[in-house]
Amino acid sequence: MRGFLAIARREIAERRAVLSAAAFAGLVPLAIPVARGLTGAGASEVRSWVALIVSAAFGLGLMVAFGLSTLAPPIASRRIAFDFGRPVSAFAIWGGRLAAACVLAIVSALIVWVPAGIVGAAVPWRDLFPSTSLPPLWPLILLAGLCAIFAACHAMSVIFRSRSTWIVADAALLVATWLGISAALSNLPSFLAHEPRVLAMRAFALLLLTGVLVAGYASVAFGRTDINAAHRALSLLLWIAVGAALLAVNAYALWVMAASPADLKKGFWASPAPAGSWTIIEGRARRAHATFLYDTASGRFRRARVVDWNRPAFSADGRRAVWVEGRDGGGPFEVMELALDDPKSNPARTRVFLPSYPALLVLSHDGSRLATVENGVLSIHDLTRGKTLASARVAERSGEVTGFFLGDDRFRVYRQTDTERKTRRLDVLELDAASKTLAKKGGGSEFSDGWLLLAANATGDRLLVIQTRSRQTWLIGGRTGAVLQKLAGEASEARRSAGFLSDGRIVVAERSPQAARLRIYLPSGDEEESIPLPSARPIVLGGEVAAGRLVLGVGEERDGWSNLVDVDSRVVGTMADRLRPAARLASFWQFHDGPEVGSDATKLFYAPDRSLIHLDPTTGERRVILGKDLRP
Amino acid sequence: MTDPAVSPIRMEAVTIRYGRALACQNVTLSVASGSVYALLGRNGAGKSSLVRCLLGEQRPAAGRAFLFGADSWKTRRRAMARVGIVPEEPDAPPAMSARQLSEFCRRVYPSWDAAGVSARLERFGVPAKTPFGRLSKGQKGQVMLALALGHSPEVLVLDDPTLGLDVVARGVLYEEIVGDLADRGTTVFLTTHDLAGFEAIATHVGILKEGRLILDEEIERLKSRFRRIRYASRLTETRTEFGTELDAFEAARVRVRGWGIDAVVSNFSEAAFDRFRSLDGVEDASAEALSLEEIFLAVAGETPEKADEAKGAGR
Repeated sequence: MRGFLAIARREIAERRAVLSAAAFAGLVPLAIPVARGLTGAGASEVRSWVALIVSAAFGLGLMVAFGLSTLAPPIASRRIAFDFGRPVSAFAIWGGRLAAACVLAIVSALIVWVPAGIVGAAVPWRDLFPSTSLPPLWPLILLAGLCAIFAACHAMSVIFRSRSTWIVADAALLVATWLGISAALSNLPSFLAHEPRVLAMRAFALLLLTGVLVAGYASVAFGRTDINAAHRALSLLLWIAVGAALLAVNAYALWVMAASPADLKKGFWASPAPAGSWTIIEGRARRAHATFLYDTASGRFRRARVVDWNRPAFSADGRRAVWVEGRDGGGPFEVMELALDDPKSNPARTRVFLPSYPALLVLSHDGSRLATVENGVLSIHDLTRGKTLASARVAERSGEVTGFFLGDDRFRVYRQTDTERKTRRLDVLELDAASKTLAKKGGGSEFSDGWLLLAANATGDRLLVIQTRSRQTWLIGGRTGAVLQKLAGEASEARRSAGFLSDGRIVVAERSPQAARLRIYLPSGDEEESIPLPSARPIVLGGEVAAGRLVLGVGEERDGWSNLVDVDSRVVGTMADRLRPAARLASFWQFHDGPEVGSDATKLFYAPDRSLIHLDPTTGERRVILGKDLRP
Repeated sequence: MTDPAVSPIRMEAVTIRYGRALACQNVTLSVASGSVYALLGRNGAGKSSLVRCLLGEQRPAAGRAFLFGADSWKTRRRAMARVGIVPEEPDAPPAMSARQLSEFCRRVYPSWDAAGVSARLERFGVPAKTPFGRLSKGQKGQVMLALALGHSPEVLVLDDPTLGLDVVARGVLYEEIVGDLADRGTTVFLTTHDLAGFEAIATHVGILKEGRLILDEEIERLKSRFRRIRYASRLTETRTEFGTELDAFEAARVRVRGWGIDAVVSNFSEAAFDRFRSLDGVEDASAEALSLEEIFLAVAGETPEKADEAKGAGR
């Protein structure tokens, strides 16, 4: 420590002239506003910016100069023998100079700032970092940055002064490092692993900083008065450190990308296919957002590299799934598919490319056709041939459109738009891929302002409309768009969810702070019966485990349960304590993906710890799909 | 202090390379405590490289150098507390004055005689406040010597300390070294071209030639076995050929002059010389003692074959 301090002190004393230069440079921020004739706030702003720029440039410039000049030239000229001829360690020789450089750079930068600071200049942090605040360890980060500059400049100085053939290896390894880090980081965005990417970059930077500092020390400790030996030691240590860092970062990236459903943390979501045993499972796995297609029957899974938290879409028969992948998280986008009924299948390219990310992704019943909507343009693609069959603009914005297939070649579009009367208008259009024509089929109904949730029945001839703001519910004609019936009364405090039963009847779950009930409507919209529910807690409409036997999720995630409602006998029974259904009777995101009666989807439940449980109410068979089964 | 049983300076088969170039090859030597070892050699012979290895400033390609019985590469920091160094090129930071350098040394050495350093600098007439970079070469050397002696080293290593010094400065240097030797019995390892100057001080001498140590011997013994023999040589009835009469002396260098033969021999003895003088055909024979410089010229200034012979003679 004595040697370290002595050398640091000596270096500061030797180079103290830079402090005078800094004091002189500190006059520049004062002079510039005067020279430009600025006064008041304008002058103050200019002073602040110039002071910041000059002081930062002065400090960083000094670190560069010191890094280039304090060690490598004395090693090359052997003048460093003066220090090696004293009882001081190599660490003191390296560290003392590094410390002195840091002190001089920081003090110089402050000296440059002082005159402007005295007349009221302030560091424009808010302009520099408008959306982020300073990290709490910023002084350490600043110091680490200065050390990195010094060490990197020292390394360059040693390399170029040695003029040895090692420089060729250095250049080659530099390129290899760039390729290595690119390889490690480039795939992470497409796995939605933004946090791991930042983490990997920070870890690499930290390892690189450590490597370059250790290598700098090694060049002094093992090179001493021999610049070639210094270069050898520096390169050896540096590239070993860089190699280790690259290995670590690549291994970490591979580990992140190799996540399986078992790695999903609490809070994952399951979206079961309408038929079959597959489900989408998405959540946080290894600090990334992971989306899996998971076969609850076999445990087989495939990861879907979806873009921006979007979900894959299933065909209604549950035999095919599609999703859209981007390159490095951006476009162009390609539609990927997975044949769920083939146990050996892997995600396959469809050769259907989309210029931008689709707001709507709907498969035909058998999955051979795909409808997409991008920037208001609806397209129907033939996935087996990788061709786009028809396209038409259906809306100004993609978010206004939803719809479903009527057979293989016809796609019905529901378009909702705001009117000048501050109402919401619903139009019905159909795109025929065979004739490549877009026709308006009906609509014109206007609803009160606010987004409309739509759910269609199995044949698409009737539609449920829930107004999100008022929670009012209507039954309308699926083709005409005309209002057939208003369901579930006037706007009230009641919260509602609704869906079609397999026999065409309509079920509306209604909950107010005081009571909850299940209203059953005939296909015509006339109310058939009203079943009081035992709890006024939040209600989720699950699937039908058998015709007319509806799963009802009640309560919150931690303390909820499931009831089984027989809509014909009006019996409400407890089905599973502390389990809530994973599937929904009606999805308002996409049509026709409500679970088939008695399908696996109707038997998937979340446990309070967000494990996924398969429970067959008819047999009582219960098994854990993901996580642990914490039975009460 | 130095354990008398341990040589303060030792080298074992030291080889130094710069890329493919060989600076020193297989050098082995040992310096006894209290002795003054002068390592001689022509420019580029590898003396300074050997000094750097000894001081732990450079790692030999093969072999090891020891200071106080420990590998100097590995234990440099500890060893340097007991070693004073005067380098070939004064290498102190140029912006610092002699006084500041002394102050710096005070902070890094376990013990430091700042007053002694000041006194020496005063004696040398070196301005204490002038930046080192502005001093003359002689003054720089004197500052380095003052610093080298500031912590009363057990070993003093001088790498060509008189290079570029005038006669007066050289005299002061000798005086200081002799004074230090007399006071404390410091072990001195020096490289020099100033053979005459150090002849009176050195107790041992080694000669490096083209990276090889071709001679390593006590100086008195060296001087006693080297002589210049001059004689006129004639053929007689009984002497029919030249060239064998010097075999007993192991000639290091033989020159044929107009007046006869001028030879430097490395295995001289009075008895053998008496016999030589009485040889048939040898006339006007005389033997005279050689200075260290003359011996060096005879050994290092010749072809390697001759030099190897001389080394063999010395062993």
